[in-house]
Amino acid sequence: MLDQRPLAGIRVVELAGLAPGPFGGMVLSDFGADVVRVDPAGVTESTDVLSRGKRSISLSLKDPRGLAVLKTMLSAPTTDKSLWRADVLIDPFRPGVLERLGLAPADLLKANPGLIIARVTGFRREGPYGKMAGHDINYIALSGVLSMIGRKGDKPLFPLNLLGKAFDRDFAGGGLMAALGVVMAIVERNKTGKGQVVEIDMVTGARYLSSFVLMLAKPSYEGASFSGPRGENLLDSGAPFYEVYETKDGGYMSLGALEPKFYKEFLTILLKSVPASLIPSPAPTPTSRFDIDTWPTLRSFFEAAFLHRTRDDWTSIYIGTDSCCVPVLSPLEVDSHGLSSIEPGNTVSEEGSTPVPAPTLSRTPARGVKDWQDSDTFVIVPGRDTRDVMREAGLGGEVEKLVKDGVMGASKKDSKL
Amino acid sequence: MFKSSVLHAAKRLPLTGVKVLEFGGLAPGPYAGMILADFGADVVRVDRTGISYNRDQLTRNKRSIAINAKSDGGKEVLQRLAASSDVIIDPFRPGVLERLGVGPKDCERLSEGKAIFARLTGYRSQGPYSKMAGHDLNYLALSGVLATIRPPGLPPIPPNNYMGDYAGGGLMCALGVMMALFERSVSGLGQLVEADMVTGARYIGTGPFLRARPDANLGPGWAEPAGQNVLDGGCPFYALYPCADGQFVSIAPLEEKFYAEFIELLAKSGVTADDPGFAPSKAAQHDRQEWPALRAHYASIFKQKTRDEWATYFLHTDACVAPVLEPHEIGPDGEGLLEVDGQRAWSEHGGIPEPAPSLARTPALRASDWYQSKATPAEQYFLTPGAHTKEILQAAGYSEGQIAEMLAAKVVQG
Repeated sequence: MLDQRPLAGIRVVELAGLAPGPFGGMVLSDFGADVVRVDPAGVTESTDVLSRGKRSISLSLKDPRGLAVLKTMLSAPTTDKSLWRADVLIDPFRPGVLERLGLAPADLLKANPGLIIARVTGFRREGPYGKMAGHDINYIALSGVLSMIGRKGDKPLFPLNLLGKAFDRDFAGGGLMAALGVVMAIVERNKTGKGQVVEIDMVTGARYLSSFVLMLAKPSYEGASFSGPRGENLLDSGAPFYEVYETKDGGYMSLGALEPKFYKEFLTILLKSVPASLIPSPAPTPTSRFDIDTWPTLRSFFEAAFLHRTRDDWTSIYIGTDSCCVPVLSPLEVDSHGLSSIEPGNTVSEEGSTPVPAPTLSRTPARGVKDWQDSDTFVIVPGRDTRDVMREAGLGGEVEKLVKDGVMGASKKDSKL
Repeated sequence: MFKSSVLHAAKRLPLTGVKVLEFGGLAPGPYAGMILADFGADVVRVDRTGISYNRDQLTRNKRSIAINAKSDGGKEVLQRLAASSDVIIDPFRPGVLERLGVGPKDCERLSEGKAIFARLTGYRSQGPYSKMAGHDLNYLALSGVLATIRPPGLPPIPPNNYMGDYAGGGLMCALGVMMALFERSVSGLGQLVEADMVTGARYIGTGPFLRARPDANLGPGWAEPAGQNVLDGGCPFYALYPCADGQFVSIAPLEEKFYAEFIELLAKSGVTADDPGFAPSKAAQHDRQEWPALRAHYASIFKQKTRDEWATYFLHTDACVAPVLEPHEIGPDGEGLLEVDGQRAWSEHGGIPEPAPSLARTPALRASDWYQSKATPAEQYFLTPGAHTKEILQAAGYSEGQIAEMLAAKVVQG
């Protein structure tokens, strides 16, 4: 069956590690790459939830025979194209670990000049943090971006799911950027036949992602919109018309009415939707919006106004308008395709749903969502596919001995894919 | 065909020869175009005529042509450019480029199937929001992601605009374009790439969303309400603490061995906590009953020295402690204040980030080369509409005479 996905035919070895590596591998896998995760022999459980579509072999890299297996998989393709050889290696370890394992990139590239080696670290390699342990919150702390999130007077807020483990660092600044770099290297390799080392660290990745925000954080820069203290800028809760407000039922509405015509539409509707007693005197007008002296009153008014109705009420009032006022949905209220339970006729399962890959490629899309609804497809057992992968790599004859000697692990006797 | 005056690295660029037509917009479209330009693509921004200023600042390494798309002559120019482009970036609401004769189907026909048409929107293209105006905060709101950015018990906080506009939007779009480029090298065909920021933001949140599912069975600390999880403030040793100077440190010693190192170093720091009888222990690390006391204990210690004192103390250790730096304290390559021996090696306003990732053999253009080669901020950040109209038209095969006519008729500007 012809695999229509864009990265069909690309083979990836992903050395098991934390978040950014698996996420990068997951993106490549979603879009068609054949990703094999290498788990350390002896590990029987994994909490990696990003393993859908991947396979796992279990291998001891400390044993020379195990190392030899991996090196074979990373070596140059032979004339028999059906033999499994990697195009990409994902290295999630601290600088030096790969080298100490006997897998120095220079050696790997000598053996296979077409190999693309993606090295993903948290801290930058240069400088004193390069060899230190750390986690997401540390990386975003060093990026400058964490200091910019939070309300006025509060300490910075690290959003677990965004800046932190998910977005900026591990995922957007780390894994997603790693995937981008890998695909760029693959495209470049088409022209030259040569691979290379692709390095991403999460501090640099997060900063690149935040280029615009950081540019405008410079106080001397004309038009700086992010140079004030935390929580006092345009897009960080400093402005009452770019904020999140609580509703009567404890839900939240987001308001992002930046442009004059959108703000006018928002305000006109708001004034009609609350009792007159709530409206301050003089009433806010569309043109008085940038008078910063009025912001405290404006903010109090908006707070009181939104508290007057439920979230779903406000949702219906503003739907179909250009008011830039939409409900804040919890992850569980949104299904795989981003449809939410507030849209008529749509129901969302209680657990919410697995987000679909993005973006959509019309002719060669990523794999569909139906495959992933069960948890046992998104957390795979280490070593589940050892036998299959070894066979595909042309090493099938050695498997049983290596398993017996503990150099490899295989969790299924006869795994069929 | 020459590019505008920027210093080219001696090494080859990964995207040399890739021609991108970026219709002028704000934030996500320009960011996607900037990534491609940073990595060597030839990016032309299409501006409209009649304006002398475009406030887009993500313009490095790009050129601009200004076209009156409402005129027949202008439409013809657009179509000719689209026909020879590898990638088209459309940031408008669907329908706009169709009306100008350069929608996805038009470009497919004009390019004989080769063009990669990247459509970037905020809301999803289906559903009632698709025709509504919105901004980053709104897209995040609908994605489920904004709900998770909040201090416990308090409303979610607008986190600037890099999660929707840049991560879920521009970066995602660039990734899709790259994948389509690779696929085209196999099939010979382009396609439509659609990136909306709701879906993009959600995709990036896959990990936390999956971990938060009850059937992921990861135990306590992963599926609790916001602010009560291990990684979102619920855990005292994955948190920020204020220091004596009002700045903050981040601590994250999650693993047992890192935690052991952390508490040992705290004990040796010479600082006495407010509760001297209380001693954190390895054994009690995950005892949630102890966590309030642990939090108070750490807070009382950290507030007694400055951020930089703590940062120095924990340098070269595996205690997972790092200072929260402000933008102006960081240089262009991400080097933080403490990493340059107390000397500020860059201007007082901090560095503009370099592209990522680093491709060792074929790296991106250095952002600092661009900014240093420009004499004024205006030249550094802004791209004058139509600055390169003539050379772009020449390269597209128009004669001097034709170009002069078009300029005179205001079909193009430049």
